[in-house]
Amino acid sequence: MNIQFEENGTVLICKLNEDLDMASANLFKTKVEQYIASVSFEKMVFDLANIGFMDSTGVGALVQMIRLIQGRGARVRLTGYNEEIGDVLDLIGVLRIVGAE
Amino acid sequence: MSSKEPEKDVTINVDGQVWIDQTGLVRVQNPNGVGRYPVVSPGQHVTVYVDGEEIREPVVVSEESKVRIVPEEVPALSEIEVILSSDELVAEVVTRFGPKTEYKAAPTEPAVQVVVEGEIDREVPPGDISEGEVVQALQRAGVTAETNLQEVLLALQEKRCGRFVVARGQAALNGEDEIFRLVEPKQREVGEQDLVNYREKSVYGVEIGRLVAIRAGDVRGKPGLTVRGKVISAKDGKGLAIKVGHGVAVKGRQYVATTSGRPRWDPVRRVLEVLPVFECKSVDLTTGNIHFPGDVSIKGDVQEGFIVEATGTITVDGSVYGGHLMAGSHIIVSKNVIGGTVEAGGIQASLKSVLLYLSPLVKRMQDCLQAIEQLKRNPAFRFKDLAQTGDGPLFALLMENKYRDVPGYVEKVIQVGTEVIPELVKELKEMLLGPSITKVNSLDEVAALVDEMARKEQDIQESVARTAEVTVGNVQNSQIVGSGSVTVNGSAINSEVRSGSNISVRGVFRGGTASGFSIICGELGSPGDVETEAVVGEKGTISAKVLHSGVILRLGTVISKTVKLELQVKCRTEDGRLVVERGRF
Repeated sequence: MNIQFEENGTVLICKLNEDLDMASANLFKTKVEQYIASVSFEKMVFDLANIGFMDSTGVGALVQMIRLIQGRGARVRLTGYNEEIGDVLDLIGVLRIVGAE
Repeated sequence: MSSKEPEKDVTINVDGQVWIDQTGLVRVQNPNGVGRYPVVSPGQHVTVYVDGEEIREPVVVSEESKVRIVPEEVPALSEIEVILSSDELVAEVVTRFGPKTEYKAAPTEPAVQVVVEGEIDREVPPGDISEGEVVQALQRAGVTAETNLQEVLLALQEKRCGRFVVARGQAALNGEDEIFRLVEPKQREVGEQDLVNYREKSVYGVEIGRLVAIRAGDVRGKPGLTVRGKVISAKDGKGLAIKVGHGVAVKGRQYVATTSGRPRWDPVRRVLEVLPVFECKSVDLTTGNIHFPGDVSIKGDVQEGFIVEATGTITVDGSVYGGHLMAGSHIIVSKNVIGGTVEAGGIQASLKSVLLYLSPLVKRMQDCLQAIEQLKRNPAFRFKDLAQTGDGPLFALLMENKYRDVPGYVEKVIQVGTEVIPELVKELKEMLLGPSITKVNSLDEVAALVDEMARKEQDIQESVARTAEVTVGNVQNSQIVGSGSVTVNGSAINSEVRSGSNISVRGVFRGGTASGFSIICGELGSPGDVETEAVVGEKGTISAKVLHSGVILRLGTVISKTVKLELQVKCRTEDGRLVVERGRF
């Protein structure tokens, strides 16, 4: 799973450079969990600009991470997604649990 | 030195010219002096070459230019095409004809600018198409259905373009959903002068051997056939699951009474039964309390302290003195209820509670299934992982996020519906409660459950609509409760009257509380300020021919106490205010 993390003050940006599906979901979760364990931040942004498709395992992994981060008291935002990915996130209700930018 | 004057320039400036002669050749004349060179442009039905290059725009030419015109030659067209509709239920033949057309360059007058156009030189009619060629084309398209070529052949003969239906398949006919109909005896027509006997309404009996109900509908679907001979499958309609209760036998698709009594159809439990009728002279020490699974008919009175409970209707020809009547259906007391309690339609209250949660649950689940359909059509969502896991994780994902309110509705339906819809409650527990959501293998299972929920919701709506009504003569110091309307043919004194629908008191309602959707009284309250209260909802109305002072009127959140005697009034609310209309109602 190709993920880049970037810290910008109190904002942690996680850029996903690969589609999020059954093949990449576990590695995505592991990398996010490991990274956020060692840094402090107030807001985390998942940049989904490079995601072409997702499956239910991938969306499930993203939801787990969102809840984990929210559980730590930080805010979560999703950015950069294309219209079709936006529809997927909306239909499953992911956009309702985070603020969309 | 010569005295000769210098020669004057006598050159005349003349523009060049270009033209097409009668043989179709291009002629060019160069300009004189500083005159313009002529220009050639290509027009329709010709190709023009200047110095070996095809020109597409105006080009300057001179006598030295090699200009060549090649006129267009459109080949003859005679062809047919077989077109099948997307559902392969219609085969059409398209005929296309056109003559061979030979063009030549049209002659022009000399001019500085000329557009070379082609004109028709000769037309040759198109070739023939035989019936055999049509038949072969249809065979190549795989058409096996019977064809009608009459119109096509006529068009071929006339060399006419057109599109002609030559064969039709047979569309599949889906079966109808089975319907269930109670066979009620024909009602006697009521004339204007006739008195309506309210005791007869919606209650009728059958004798042994009588037809009680029938199932109808052509459930089996009829398969169709495409023009290529492929069978189109048809869906069968939904059959009805009907349970036969007491007093009913099934004869094919007919239900026949095996005992005399009153037919009753319970749309929620889907049970058809003929309720027996228990008859007695009076309810007193000789009979004791009555608990009867059917209708009870009491020819006399119900004495103080006795209970009459029936799953069907209760009819009392006399009075109720301090007795307690409880019926699943209507209650009719011809004379008086004094110090008694009358309750009709207890189950409807439970069913209404179920509807409170079942209706939104059905709506949310239908929305959820629709969302999944939309996801399936979204190219950015892949389903490969579900081949391994089944549909459970996707379904759970939606339930945990966008439809997270659904489990709450499920729990409520289970809580309030256990007694009245036990089978549906069992299915809800198995599929939609807690961790069972993730165990869903296929969304088809969920869709089937949602269909079942929607049917049950409809059944309950039907059942609730058939509310149990109460009709009594006079009421005093009593409690009257009906899930449907309550009618007091005389007066109600110091009593509590509650109705899920409308309350009608023909005489006086004095002392106590009347609450319903709307209330109509001959006289409401008393001159002596006996505490009287009328309660309706925000959209309800309270009407009275005589409305005394001191009556408390509650219309939703609007509360008012009358301060003077009013005649012919109707009270309602508008924008949170009490509105009193006067006149005959």
